[in-house]
Amino acid sequence: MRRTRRSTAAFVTTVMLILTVMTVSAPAASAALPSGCSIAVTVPSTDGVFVTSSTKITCSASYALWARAAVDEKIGAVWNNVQGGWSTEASTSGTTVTAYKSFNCNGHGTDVWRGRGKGGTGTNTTETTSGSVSLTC
Amino acid sequence: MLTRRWVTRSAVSWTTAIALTAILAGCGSGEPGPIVTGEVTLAQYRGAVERARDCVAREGFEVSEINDGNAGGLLLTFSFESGADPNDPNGPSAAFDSCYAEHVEEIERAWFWGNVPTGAQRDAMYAEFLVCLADAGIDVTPLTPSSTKEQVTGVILGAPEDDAVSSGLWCLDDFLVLYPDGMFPE
Repeated sequence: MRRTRRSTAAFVTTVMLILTVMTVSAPAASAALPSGCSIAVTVPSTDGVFVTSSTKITCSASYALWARAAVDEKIGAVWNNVQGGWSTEASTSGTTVTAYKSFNCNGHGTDVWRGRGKGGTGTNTTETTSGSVSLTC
Repeated sequence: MLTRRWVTRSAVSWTTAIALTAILAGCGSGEPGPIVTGEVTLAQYRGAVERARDCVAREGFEVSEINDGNAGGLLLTFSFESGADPNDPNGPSAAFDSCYAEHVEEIERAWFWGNVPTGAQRDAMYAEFLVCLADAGIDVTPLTPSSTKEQVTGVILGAPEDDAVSSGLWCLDDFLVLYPDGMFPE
C-alpha cells in the first residue's frame, strides 16, 4: 500500500514534470504572417490629452484575424511600453482588422512616442513599430 | 493624384530605406552609421531598410519582407518576431532599435524632410486628406488648411464611432507628411 502510494506520487510528479517541460518548450507563435498579409502601425498623434496609434492587419484572403495596438514612450534612451498595455480587436472572418490605442498622456509634457502593433491569424503572428514623433500632452 | 501619391510613397520609402540602411551598415561592424547629406533616393532608402532588416535577422530574429504601406507609403517598414515581453532588453525590439539607430535613422530623417510638400502641392494633398477623412465618417467642417495636427487629431478622436476613429487615424497616417513637426526628433 505504501509502495503504491509512493508509486502514485512518483507517477503524478513525473506527469507534472512532463507537462511543465511541454509548457516551457511549446513552440513560439510563428513570426511569419500568411502570404498576402501585412501589418501596419500609425505614427502616434495627440489632441493634447490623448496619444493615439492604430494597428492594421490586412490580408488578400479571408482569415480569422486579430490586431493589437500600443503606444511606447521613450524615457532616456529606452522605449517603455508602460502606457496602459495593449488594445485588441479581433475578427472571426475578414481581410482586415484594425485596433487603436488611445492613452491619456496628461502630465507627460513633451516626450517622444511611437506606435507598436502585433497581430495575425491565430498562431501566425508578427510585431512591428511605427516611426517616432515628439508630442506635447 | 497617382503621381502625388507615388511621390509621397517614394518619400516614405526613402526614409525607411535610409533608416534601414543605417541599421544594417552598423550591425555587427562596430563602425559608425552613415553621415547623410543631400538628397536621398528611394533606392538608397530601400537599400538602407533592407540592410537594417538583415541586421535584425543576424541578431537571430525572424523578419518579414519590406512593407511600403506605412505612413502613406513614405516610410518603409518590416516586422519582426514577437517577444513575450515588449520591454525585454534582449528582445527583438531592442535589436530593431539598435539596428535602426545605427543604419537607418539618419537616412530616413533626410528622406522624410526632403519630401515635405509646400505651397500648391500641400494644398492639393490637404484636399485629398479631407476627402479621406470625410469618407471615414469624420466631420471635417471644423478643419482648415492651417489646423494643427493636434486639432486634427482632436476632431478624429471626437468621432462617435470607433470605426470612424480608426479610419480617421489611418487617413492622418496616409497624409502624415502634411504635419511633419515633431517627426524624427533628436
